Amino acid sequence: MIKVTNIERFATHDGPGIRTAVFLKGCPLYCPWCANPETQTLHPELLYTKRKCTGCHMCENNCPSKAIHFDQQGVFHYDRTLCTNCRECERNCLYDAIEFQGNDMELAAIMKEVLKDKDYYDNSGGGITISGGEPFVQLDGLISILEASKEKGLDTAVETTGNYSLESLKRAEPYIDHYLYDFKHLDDQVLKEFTGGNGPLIKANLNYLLEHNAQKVFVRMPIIPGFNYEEELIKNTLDYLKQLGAERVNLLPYHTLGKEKYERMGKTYELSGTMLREEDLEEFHQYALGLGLESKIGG
Amino acid sequence: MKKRINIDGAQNVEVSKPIPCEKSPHEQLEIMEAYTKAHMDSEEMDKARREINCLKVIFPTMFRSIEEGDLLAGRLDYLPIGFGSVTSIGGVGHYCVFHKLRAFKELLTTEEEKKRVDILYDYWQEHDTKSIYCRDILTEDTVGRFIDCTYPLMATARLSGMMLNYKRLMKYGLEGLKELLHSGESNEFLECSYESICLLQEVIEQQIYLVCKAKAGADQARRKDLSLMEEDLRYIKENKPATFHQALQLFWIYALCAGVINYGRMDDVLGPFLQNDLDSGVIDEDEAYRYLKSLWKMIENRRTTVNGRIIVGGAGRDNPKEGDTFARICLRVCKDTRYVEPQFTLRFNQDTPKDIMDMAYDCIGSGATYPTLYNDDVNIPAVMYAMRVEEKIAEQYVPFGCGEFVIQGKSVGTPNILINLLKILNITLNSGIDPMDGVRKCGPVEIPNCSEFQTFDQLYDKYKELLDYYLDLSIEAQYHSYKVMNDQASFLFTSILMDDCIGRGKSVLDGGIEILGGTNETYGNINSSDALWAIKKLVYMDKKYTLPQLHEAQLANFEGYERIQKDLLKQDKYGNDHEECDELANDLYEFVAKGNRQRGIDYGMGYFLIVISNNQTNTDWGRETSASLDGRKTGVYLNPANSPQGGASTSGPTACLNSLSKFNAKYHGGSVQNIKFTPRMFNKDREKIKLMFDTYFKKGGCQLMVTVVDHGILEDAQNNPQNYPDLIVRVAGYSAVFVNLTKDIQEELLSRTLYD
Repeated sequence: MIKVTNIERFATHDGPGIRTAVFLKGCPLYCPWCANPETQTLHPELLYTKRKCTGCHMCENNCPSKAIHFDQQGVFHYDRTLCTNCRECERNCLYDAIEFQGNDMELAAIMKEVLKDKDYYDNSGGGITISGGEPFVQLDGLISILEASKEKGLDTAVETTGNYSLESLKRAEPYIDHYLYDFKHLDDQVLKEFTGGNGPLIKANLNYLLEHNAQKVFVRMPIIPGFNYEEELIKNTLDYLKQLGAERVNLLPYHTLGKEKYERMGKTYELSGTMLREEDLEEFHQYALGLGLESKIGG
Repeated sequence: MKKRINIDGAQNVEVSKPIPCEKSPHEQLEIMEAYTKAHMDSEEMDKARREINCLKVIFPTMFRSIEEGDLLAGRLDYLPIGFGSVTSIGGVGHYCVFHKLRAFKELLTTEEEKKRVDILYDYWQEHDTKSIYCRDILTEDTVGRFIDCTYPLMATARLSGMMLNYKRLMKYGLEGLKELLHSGESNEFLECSYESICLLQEVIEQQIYLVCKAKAGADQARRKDLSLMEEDLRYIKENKPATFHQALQLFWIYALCAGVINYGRMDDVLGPFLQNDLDSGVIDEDEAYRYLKSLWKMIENRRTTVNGRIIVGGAGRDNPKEGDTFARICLRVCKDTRYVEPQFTLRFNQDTPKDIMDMAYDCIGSGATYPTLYNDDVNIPAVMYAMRVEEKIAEQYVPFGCGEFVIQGKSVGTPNILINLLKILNITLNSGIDPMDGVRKCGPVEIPNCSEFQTFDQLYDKYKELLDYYLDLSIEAQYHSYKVMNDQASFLFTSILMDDCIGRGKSVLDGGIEILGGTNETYGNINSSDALWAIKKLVYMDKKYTLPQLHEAQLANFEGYERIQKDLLKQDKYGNDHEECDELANDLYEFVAKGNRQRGIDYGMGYFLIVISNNQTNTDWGRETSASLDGRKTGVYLNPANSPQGGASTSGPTACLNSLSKFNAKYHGGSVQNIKFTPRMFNKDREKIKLMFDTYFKKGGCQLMVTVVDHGILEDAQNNPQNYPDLIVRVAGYSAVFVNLTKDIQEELLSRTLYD
């Protein structure tokens, strides 16, 4: 069984052509801007939408493990430690105020869904993108999807943080056509502090890939105010990537589209910066082009 | 059970507000009286003679003045009484639109004049073509008039969607047509047709007068335009057209007199004139653009809401290169004008030049909703089978109105029947009684209590039995509409340009037309198949509920049964590429489509096909359709055309398109697929969107209508309509200015998935 958050068809920002993105659960990082916080853990996440809730208490009444209760002010409380993921609350909510994210799926079921758009991939040079979370967290699952995809002649992409052992990377490498490789910060210390990421490891893996298969790698730089949105830093990072042998970079402007999910998960969204526009990154895009990098703003 | 009919009430979909008549109410009354007198006086005469006598009352009288900026002559008013082909402008044959006549009466000031209206009203109750038809066909329980949504079947008499053979008009000119009409053995139809052309020449004469009148006080530039119009009117009155402007003018004036509101493959008709003028330097492209922009405005001003088709591109054109030149200019005009009509349509295939496809996508991306896209690679073979015609004929298919196909110049295909599949399913589940009003509507079909359906097939078979009954009623009603219209009129102007009325010496419905077709508009297709799938899954596969339990919830409009409704809504829905659910949708589609088609063949018609293309009847009929087992509540709109119920498509556009492409196009006579994108996705991901459409078309997709609109815009337009005078949306088979739509139709549009 593979732990999947969701499968998105006609994903247009996750590699070349028309693609289906399979989002796997689990991530070693906890980037505070993460647009898919429900993918970070391996277990299913309960998302509660207050505006849909009528306060009927059907979820509370049907929860066999008492993981849900409403306090006297009518505020919804959920105790993850008591929850057994039986999903009775979700089933009994008539208003879709409760939704679980995360399913155990058989490889065959995943592939059945992915192959439905094979005609579109073939006609557009697209294929499957495995994203997350960090897909390497479920390494065996990842490799099984990649193998099955290759058997069906699909183009494969992996969206990754690079935060795992080189050995893991080498196991998956034969099946991957494109790496959408996140590079978030040049300074290992800052990276560690904000995201828990292992900078040296990420750099080493990137170096390995660029040495062996640079044309397969799209380096993705999320530009986040309060984290890395500084002229000198961004330019230095681009210089570094160029030096490392990168050929393509994507500059991803910070957005807050995942913000509501934090609230629905009962978490706090810790960033306060405003969303960036594409034009905010134009200068860096031009700089990257000047370095001879194939640069694009957005995914 | 025959019914005492109600002849009053709306009889067509009218979103765009008509331009008021130029004549005073008093003058209008006199014209209607003169028309009525001509009709009375001609009672004993041949129908063709009666028709020309009546036409002489309204032509050229009902033409309006030339307006500032018009580069073509010809604006026509119509009255509540007169002659026509379609309900969108006036009515059918000799007609009276009773509710409009009543409204007209209120414009009059004296009691004496009002009484005169009453006399007209009384006379036409017995003579209005559609009323005669309705008296024969409508019943108390099963067949209602269009638009009376309490019935499972609606019927009407109209001659919609006639697309004339304008090449013949260009080839012969008016004098040439007259010669042709006098060349063989004479009869009253041919003689009256001859007189029709003479009448058309009188109309042109009057237009010359109006153009000259418009010159008074005009500035120099305007005088130049008016002089061209005058010269060209004089020329085409006697000669076949030699220039693009002359050809355009002749086509336009003819279309107005014929009362047709769909125009067809104008690129193949007008392209050679255009190219010739461009090549010889008579005009440049900017001048051609001006003429076409003027045509666009004239068509828009006719306000026919769901019609005004101009079609360009595709296979089977005599002049593809010249046609493409015409198409390119039209695409520019279409993008710049942003009118809801003409409904600009692109037929395409592998040979369509890339720049035309790109211009088309740019036009769609600008939010124009046009062109609508028709895939020749699928449609031509499909039409060959559906209509049983050879390839050369099928190549001349054209969609009219909301998307029904006809063969240009060769077939009648008017949709005079509308059938509500969901209402029929609800009646099947409720022992033959419509839960909406408690009336038994199952004719002779015996329907047991739903508890007796032990298997899914027993239920499904009973539903099919009732559908069969309604399909029998459909063909009878369609066929009878032709008989009644033919008894009353020859439709002279239409007949002259339809193959092969002149050759056969017969009018269009009298044996003159080469292909007598017809169409049946189906509604609630997807609600029905989704409901059947939910029943199959919950009752017969999972055994979670019994059918009576679901039925009880349905009868209660799910109030107090919200859990059941949620379970129904959670079942797989068409539009998400789910195999079993889509297969059931396809099975139901094929049952209805094949059954309908076979009935046409059995009746000796050229074809009788279903069309899955709706105007706003999905919303209107939804109001009168009880809660259904797809989870839909009472009164909620039905699914639009061939697309999923609003909000049901949740798996992305490729999944939706995969579902849509599963229906084999060869069993229907046109189906409409609507899809909605944000400008961000449509314009920024353009290459991927194009590849997606391309794949869909390769997989058998026959057609696509695309709306590009941003998040929140429609919602904001509901609250601040004054800010959105030109926000155009595709409703289903037609486009409309969003703020002109009624609230529930706006809601239906909002409910549709917006891909971003």
